[in-house]
Amino acid sequence: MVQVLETITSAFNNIFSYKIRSFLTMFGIIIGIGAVITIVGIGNGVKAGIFDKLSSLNKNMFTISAINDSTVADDQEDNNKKDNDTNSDKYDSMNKNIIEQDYLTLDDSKDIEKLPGVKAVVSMSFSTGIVKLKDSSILNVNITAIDSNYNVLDNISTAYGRFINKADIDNFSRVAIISDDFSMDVFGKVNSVGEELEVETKESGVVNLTVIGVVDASDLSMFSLDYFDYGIVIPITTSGNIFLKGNNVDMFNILVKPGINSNNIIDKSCQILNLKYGKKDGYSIGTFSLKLKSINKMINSITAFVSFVAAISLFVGGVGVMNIMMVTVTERTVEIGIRKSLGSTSSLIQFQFLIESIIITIIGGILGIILGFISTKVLSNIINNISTDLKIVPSIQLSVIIGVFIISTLIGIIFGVAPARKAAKLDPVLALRFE
Amino acid sequence: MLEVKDLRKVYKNGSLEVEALKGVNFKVEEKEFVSIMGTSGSGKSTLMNILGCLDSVSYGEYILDGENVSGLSQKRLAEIRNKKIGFVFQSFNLLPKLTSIQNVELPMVYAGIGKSERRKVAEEALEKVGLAQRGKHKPNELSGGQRQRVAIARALVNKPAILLADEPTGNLDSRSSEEIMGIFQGLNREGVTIVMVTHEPDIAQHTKRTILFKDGNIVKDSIVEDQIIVGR
Repeated sequence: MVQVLETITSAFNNIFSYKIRSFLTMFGIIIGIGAVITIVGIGNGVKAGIFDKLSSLNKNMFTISAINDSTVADDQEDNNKKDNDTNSDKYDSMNKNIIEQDYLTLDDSKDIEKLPGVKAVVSMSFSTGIVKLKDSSILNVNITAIDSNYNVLDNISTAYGRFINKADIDNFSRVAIISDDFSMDVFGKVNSVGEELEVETKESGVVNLTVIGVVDASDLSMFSLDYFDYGIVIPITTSGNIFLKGNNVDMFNILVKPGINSNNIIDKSCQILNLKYGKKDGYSIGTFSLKLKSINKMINSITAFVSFVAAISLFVGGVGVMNIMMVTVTERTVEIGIRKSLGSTSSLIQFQFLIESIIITIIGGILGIILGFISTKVLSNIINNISTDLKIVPSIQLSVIIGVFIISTLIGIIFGVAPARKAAKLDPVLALRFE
Repeated sequence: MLEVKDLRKVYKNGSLEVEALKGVNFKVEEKEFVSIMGTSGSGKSTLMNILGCLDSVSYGEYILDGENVSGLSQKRLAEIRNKKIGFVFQSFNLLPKLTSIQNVELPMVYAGIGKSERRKVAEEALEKVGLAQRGKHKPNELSGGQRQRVAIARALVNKPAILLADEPTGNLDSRSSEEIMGIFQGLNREGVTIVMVTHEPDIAQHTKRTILFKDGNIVKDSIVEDQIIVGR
């Protein structure tokens, strides 16, 4: 016991009497551990930030989008051809139907809205158009078409003017809502209510839309940001008119009443659509948890990759420790000889050098944790200053700190064993004669 | 106290075998003060390493304090070095980072003695060699003679059965050498058994018995007739 305590004390003395060398030795560990802590802290912060944004959305909402690319239609055709020939007439007419009926329609939305448990169905369509900015540059912008009940999903208050209402829908009004920054770029002012917005479309040539409302982009939720930020939002019927979609829409946002299992509603909605179009799996379903899952998956894979890089840095750091310890053993050959001649056992010598490398990596780990905390703080501040729509709330769990502590200890052991064994194996006679 | 029987040591250097000791026999009784002499390559250093349990025996027996040392485990040998042998080296071999008192304490650390007792015994040992005031000095703040006295204090703290000194005056001027020999003689009078390697006849003159080595054999084993006594 006395031997062990004294050995640890002397290991500390050795490390602190060569401060610069010890610091340089632990540098790789400091960087590696610091990187791990930063990645975890920022990763958690981004996750928390995104979750925060997402939780402002309706968790009891799901979307149905028509898969309207030709490959699905072709597949459908092929599959049907393989089917029973006796019914070929029926299938033929159905195929035709499917290809024509690539979209969901406003009538479908009414059918689904009638389902018990459904609170509202909000139809949306997506197109693009070209707008000329004030500085004469030409810009392709997204045009989102919404129903007047959009506010059920996200209650948007306009900074100037009003929101799209039922009358706009019924009258196919050529009106638009834009964001303040877009308004600034097009009209040179924030409040452009009443101005005419000229949009060039593929389907209908140049179209004039009257601005009826302007929204503050920094006030938008994550859900509405996609549609309203630097885009044009128009009534769904107007969109059908301009973009020649008629009654067809791209997506339903279906809001389920509280306490109702949305999976049931998803099944029933699909049944309605399948019955109507005989088209199985022709729709893609989006839910809150699916969205969250895919974001988590993305962040986790980024974290995994960067952690892998950090692990390499830790490995290199460990090799650095081993290298210096090897040199130290050589330098202290005479000391080892003296200690052995005074009665130190080989195992105690081994322990002495092992504990030195463990102390170095543990101190490196602690400094790395401190560095990680600082860089997490600094980085998240920088990111928060740059990005307006995502607030990072960095957090580092205690378990990560404990884990990192264990990892640095393990590095000390793994990379300290070889030098320590080298020291222990030294022949005292040769060691004492070493110059 | 110490006995070697037909002691042989063979060094292998590749296919070349060098016999450093060619069957040596002698005995050292308790309270003796023996000098081992010989030119370099005579085998005296090899003998010293074996007597100090730092090196193993190729053939023959080495009995120290009633225990046959040849063939013991490394761990037991470390214990013997710690408890039964006190080393004094030509180049002092103090640990440069430790103070005098810490250097003197070191063998007691390996013996597992607690801090307060270590300090007490180390202070006494330093006082014995006349360095009570130098406990907090590091080796580089001491003269050669003082360093060697610290080393002697260190060699004594575990009350070894035998003190082994390998050219203890080899790095010292003649005044310091006299001082060191005076300390050895004092210790010997108090009952410490000392075996010392030297190649200087006038240093050997301070001991009571001289064993002369040549080419790995004892060529002469004689009582010192006109011993030089320091300080009396």
